[in-house]
Formats: sequence, structure tokens, C-alpha cells
Amino acid sequence: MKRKLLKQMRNEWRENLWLVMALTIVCLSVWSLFLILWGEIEGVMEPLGFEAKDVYTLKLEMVPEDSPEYNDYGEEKDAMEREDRVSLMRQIRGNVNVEAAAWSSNFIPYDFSYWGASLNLADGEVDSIGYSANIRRASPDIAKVLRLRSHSGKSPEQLAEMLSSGDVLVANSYGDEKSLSPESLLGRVVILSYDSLNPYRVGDVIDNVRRSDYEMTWGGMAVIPVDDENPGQMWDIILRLKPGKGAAFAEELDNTPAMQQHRNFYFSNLKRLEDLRDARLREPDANVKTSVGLMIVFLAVILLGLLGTFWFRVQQRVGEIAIRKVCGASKGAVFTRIISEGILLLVCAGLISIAVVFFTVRYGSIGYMEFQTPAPIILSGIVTILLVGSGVVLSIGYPAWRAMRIEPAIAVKSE
Amino acid sequence: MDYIRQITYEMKTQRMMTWVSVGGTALSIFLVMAFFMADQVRIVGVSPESDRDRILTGENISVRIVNGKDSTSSSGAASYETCRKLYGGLDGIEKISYMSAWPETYNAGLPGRKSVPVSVRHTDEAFWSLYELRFLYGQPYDEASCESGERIVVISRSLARSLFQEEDVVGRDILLQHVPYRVIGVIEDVSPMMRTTGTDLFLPLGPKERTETGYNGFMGNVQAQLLPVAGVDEESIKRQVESRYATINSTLGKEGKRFIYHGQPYNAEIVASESYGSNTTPDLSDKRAGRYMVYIVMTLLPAINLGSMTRSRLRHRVSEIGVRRAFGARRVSIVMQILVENFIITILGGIVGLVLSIVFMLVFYGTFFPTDSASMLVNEMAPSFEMLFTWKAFGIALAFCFVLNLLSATLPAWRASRIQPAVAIAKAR
Repeated sequence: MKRKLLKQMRNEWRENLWLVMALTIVCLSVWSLFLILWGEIEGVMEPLGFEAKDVYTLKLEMVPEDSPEYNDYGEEKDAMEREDRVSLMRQIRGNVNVEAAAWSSNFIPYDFSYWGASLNLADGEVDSIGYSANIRRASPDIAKVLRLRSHSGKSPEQLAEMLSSGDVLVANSYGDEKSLSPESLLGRVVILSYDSLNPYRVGDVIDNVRRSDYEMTWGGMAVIPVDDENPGQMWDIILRLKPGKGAAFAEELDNTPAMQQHRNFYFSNLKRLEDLRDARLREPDANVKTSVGLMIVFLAVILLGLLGTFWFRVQQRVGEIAIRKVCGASKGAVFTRIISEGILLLVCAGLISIAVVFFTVRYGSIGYMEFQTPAPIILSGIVTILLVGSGVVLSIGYPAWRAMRIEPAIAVKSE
Repeated sequence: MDYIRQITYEMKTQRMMTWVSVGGTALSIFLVMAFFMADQVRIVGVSPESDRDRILTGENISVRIVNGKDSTSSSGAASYETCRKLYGGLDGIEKISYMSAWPETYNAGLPGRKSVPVSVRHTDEAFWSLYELRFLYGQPYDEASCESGERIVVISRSLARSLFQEEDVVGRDILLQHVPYRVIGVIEDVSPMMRTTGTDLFLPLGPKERTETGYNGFMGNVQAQLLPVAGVDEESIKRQVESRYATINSTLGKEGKRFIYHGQPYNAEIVASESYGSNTTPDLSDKRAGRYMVYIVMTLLPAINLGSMTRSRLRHRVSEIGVRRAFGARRVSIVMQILVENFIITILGGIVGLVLSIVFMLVFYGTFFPTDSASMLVNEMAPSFEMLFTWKAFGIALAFCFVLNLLSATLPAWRASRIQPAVAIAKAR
């Protein structure tokens, strides 16, 4: 039976060659689309390094000197301004809806901030290879606000304690093999590459706080503590509110001028971190939607094409099907034979596609679709073959089922 | 007429084929046109940015400073002075306007009332003649107001409603970052899809913004928008700007500084691509390659499928072709007939695809192709019909159908025309 099938396929080699070519292009196109989609969502599978729920951000702003509301502090300016800022923060911390609040200059996730520097061992050469990191500065409560995740099992409260005592936290590092590992820094004294006057002890290793859901983590991260009573140039405040208290806090802030403004400083732009995420990631979110939409339309075009192609192919063989049935072949046997032909053609197309992908990956460039492991390529390949295979079976199955319902006498007569 | 009769008969007798062919073509055209329109919406000239497709943007400055063996470079938006030196008084420019390089977010409110974050842009007086923003009340600011740094603003209808619960608010005061400003005009809302004019509030580019300089004295927050005289090509403007860079560098070189030219000013396509930084020369080749790849695949796939179907369809018509050849029909006329018949089916699919793509873009544009409007009060993301349906778009759809038709039908038609009449008739029997 198998030999007969192969012989029959050989007799129709022109038709079959054409079909194998078409199926190969289909497989390669679907495979590429899967890889593009994978590249876009790869980062989503990594841990974020923080908990966004119930986290809000506030902006601290200053009344400009040309405003009638401006208070001139004269020579006491620096001290008074520091007092204004700290006083506002105390009010926020004392609010019943607030669980924790921290000053930050560049710690808000989804802000895409990157302040690159390296941490060097204080007892080593300053210009020796250090630990490359995105430097994030914030007051100690940041650990409680974002619920930073310790690798040694410490709670956010314990991490906050460490930051209060002046320790720095470092995060797992990716992509820079020359860089010192974060674990090797644990308990050691380090200095920042741009500030050799202030040594810090590395307290713990935490999960990297990602800049986006989609962006893969690259490099390391270090949390440098800032004094709560002397926030310097910190203009962002990150808050963790008690669960479900967002609306109550926003209303209170709106309706309590004393809570909103203290002399020359005022709060603005209270935002839920999740809303900030939606606004900042609107484009990558849309890219994923576009890729999925593209994939669906693409598969629909392919399915329609396969259906059209195999429809005619089966129609031409109505007479042959009838003769087989007259000669005693069961419906199942005839159906299997027709399906087997399609599957064999797909296997040929699949093998050619695997070869093309292998040579492209091995010897060519696959551009931005560069993956650290071959898993995505293999997985996408399997899904592609399964999807196109299902399309082939559906496209052959339906016309074959219709053809088999025709009475053999009628089918042969029409021939 | 015979062609239409023939294809109508074919479509009636081969319903499955008709659905599959028209459906496949429609989906392909839909996809290609959706991508084409997504690009077009960002650059097509429509009110209030009617000349958007002609306007060039002069932005960013990249400076290299050499100090002995070390060299550092810095880049970012240019200052007003730098912009004027690079883009002021160029030949072949009809209008030029200076404005802030990007919209900023300010808090706008009324005394004792909650303020709202709004999108703000500083512009000079020429901005109002470069773009056609519709004034509902009041008027734009003039050169004297800009030079004096008067605290006046032009606000959008939505902002007026949000702050005052009415629209005619000319002469009233608002607080911007706690500083009072007088409203001198209220304009019709502009969608954030309009990159330059999509803003809630406009302020004069006053002496403070004109003298503000950032790092190294060349940087700031200003860009120039240039409208070339009709017929003047982009390259001639770029050449002039490049020569200004050279002139400036001949002086700066003595101080160990150098402006690095990155191909400014940029056209609408480059600006809309957002695929460049202040220290890089825009290169659209990757983006274009991605788009072309989609177009090619979306042409090739249905072409292969339709080609298979055409081959199969023609098998049913072998006898007809044989008889026509026996009666003296030339091969060319057989090929032409098949191509025209196929083209009619492709055009049908094309029309369905084009209509689908327009409806899709009208409804889902904001979901699939968003513009950053986080700080704008107006969040309307639906493109207008005139942004989507242009004769260029129609021409592209038609050309795509034609190419699809040629790819899918030429080979089967040529093969069918080469069958010997006797063989064809014998096969059919």
C-alpha cells in the first residue's frame, strides 16, 4: 500500500513538487512569525522583581520663584526647604491609608531609567573589573513599598533595616560575563566607580527590579540608600497603600490642602503604578497584539489556501475514490490514503524547512531573533508543524469526506 | 463582456473556489493595507497639519569634545540659538517655526481648585501660520508677546471645559505650575495623533526659553520646523544645513569641539519612525525591510495558493481551451483571457480587503497602533477617513491585486495555452 502511494505520488511529481514548495514557504513563514512573537514576549516569563499592586507614585514639585505663592526663605533657604520636604513626607507616612513610602530619584519601575556605574571592591584596584549595575537610589522603605525579593529569604522589612543601616543591595546580573557576580560581593565593602569617598557594605542579593514586563534583564542593579531626613534631589515618592485604599487616599489628598502642599513644596500627579505601566507599555503591548493579529490573519490565509488547493486535488480524484470503493476498500482505508499523501507532502516540506532554519541559524544571521538557547526555535518549529499539519488534515479531510459520500456509480459516470 | 460572463459562470458553478479565492485575496489585501495605512496615518498631511508630509524637522545636536587624547561626546535637543544658526534663513524655505522639542507636562488649575496634568508646548508666533489650528475664541499670540515673555496662553476646548466648565474663557486667568497666565485663545481640540499640534496648551517661546541652554551651551529644548517652497527638494535643504555644520565646525574646531551631522532636517517619515536617537543618524532600512517582508510574504503566500487553485481550475477547462485552440485562438489570447478572469476575482477580493482594512483602522487603530498621549486631556485615537483612504492607498491596493494576479495566474495560463488541441480534447474525453 505504501509503495503504491509513493508510486502514485511519483507519477504526479510536478503537482507534488509545487505543493511541497508551497508548504515549505508556509512552514517557514509561520515559523518566523512564531519566533518574532516569542522575541516580543520572552521577557514576560522572567520575574519582575517587585509587586505592583497597591503601589502609587507621587511627584514632588516646587513653587517657582516668580509665583505669588513663593515663600522667600532668605539665607535659611536650604535648611527650610529640607524641612518642608521632610515634613510633607512625614504627613504621607502618618496617613492611615499608607503602608510604606519612600523617596526615589530613579527607582520607579517602567520609567526606563538607567544610571550605569560599577561597584568595585574597596580593598581592590579602583579600576579593576567590578560589578556593572543600574544604580537605583531610594530611601530604605523602598524594600517594603516594592516588596523586593531577597535571594536569602529575608523579608522586605529586614531588607529595609539593612538599607537603613547603610548597606547596599545588589541584584542578579545577566549578560556581562566579565562582571563580578553579585554573590561574590556579599558582605564585602564596595565603592561606586564615580564616588570613591563613600564605601558601602553589600547586605544581600535580590531579584533585579525590571524596567519593563517585556525587556529582558541585562546587567546588574544596585540599591543605594538615601537618608530619609535628607532626601537631597529626590523628587519622586513611591507609596504602598493598604489594600483597596487607593480611592480613599486620592480623595483625602485632593481635599486636604495641608497634606498636598507645605509652603514651597507640593505634591502632584498621584498615579497607580499599574496605570503607569499601561501608559508606558502601550506600544509593546500593541506590538504583541499586532503580532497575534497578524498570526491569526496569516493562518486564516494559509488555511484558505490549503483548503482551495486540496479541494481541487480531491475533486479530481473522485473517480479514483469510487473505483477503490467498488473494489472493496473501506471508507477508512481510502480516507487514510488521501490523508497520508498530504502528510507525506508536509513531512517533505517540514524537512526542507528544518534544513533552511538550521543553516540560517548556523551560518547566517537571524537578526534580532537571537535566542540564548535553541529551545524557542525548536518549540516554534514543533508548533508550526502541528499547526500546518492540522491545516492540511482539515483541508484534505473535508473534501475527502464529501467525495466519499458520492455513490461510486455516479462518481464513475461523471468521469 | 465575455470575460465577465465566463467568470460569473465559473463563480456560480465553483462556489467553494470563489469563496476561497475571494476570501484569501481579501485577507491578504486587508493585512497589507492595514500596515500601509498605519504608516500613512503618521505622515499624511491633514488639517491642522496639512503640510505634514512636506515639513522638515531640525532637531537634536551631537557635540564631540576633544581634550588631548580623550574625547567625550554629548547629544540632545538643541538650544534656540543653535537652531537659529543651523536652520535660520535657509534658501528655499517658505516658513520656519521654532518650538519646544517635546511637549512637557504642567499642572494647570484655578486658585483653590484641584489642578490637572496637561500637555504643554512653547512655540513662536510663526507656528500659527505653519499649522491651521481653528480658533473658537480669541486669537494667537504675536511676535511682540513672544519677545516680551508675556504670561499668556492658548488652550484647547477640552482644557477650557475641564477648568471652567465653559468654552469662551478668553481674558480669564489660569494657574500653570502655580503661576498665573491669561487665556488669549481657545482652539478646537487636536488628536494626539497629530505629533506637533496635539497639545492641550500653547505658550509663547519667550526670552527665557530662547536663552535657556543646557550642557555645553549648545543644547536646550528647541526644534525648528521648516516648510520648503513647493518644488524644492529635501536634499538641497540638507546640503545647506550640512554646510552650516561645516562652517560652525571651522570655528569650534579651535576649541576642540565639533558638531556631528546626523542628516538633519528629517522628513515626516523619519520623525514618525522614532527609530533614532540624538547621537545617531536615522536608518529606516530595518523598519522598511520588516514592512517589505510582510508585503512580500503576504503577496507570495496567497499567490502560491491561488496559483495552485488556478492550475486545478484550468484542468477542468482543458477541453474548452483545446476547442478554442482548434478553432484558431492564439496562445496569447488564451493567456490574456485567463489573466483577465483571474484579475476580476482578485479585484473582488481586493475591494473586500480594502473596505475591511478601512473599517478595521477606524475602529481599532488606537488598540493596535497607539500614540503616546498619556498626558493629554484629549485621548481620541481614531483616524479620520481622509487619513486612511487616499488615492495612493487605492493605487497600492490595485497594484497589489495586479501583482497577485500576475504571480498566481501567469504560469498556469501559459502552461494551459501550450496544450496541443488534440491532446486537450482527448484528455477531456
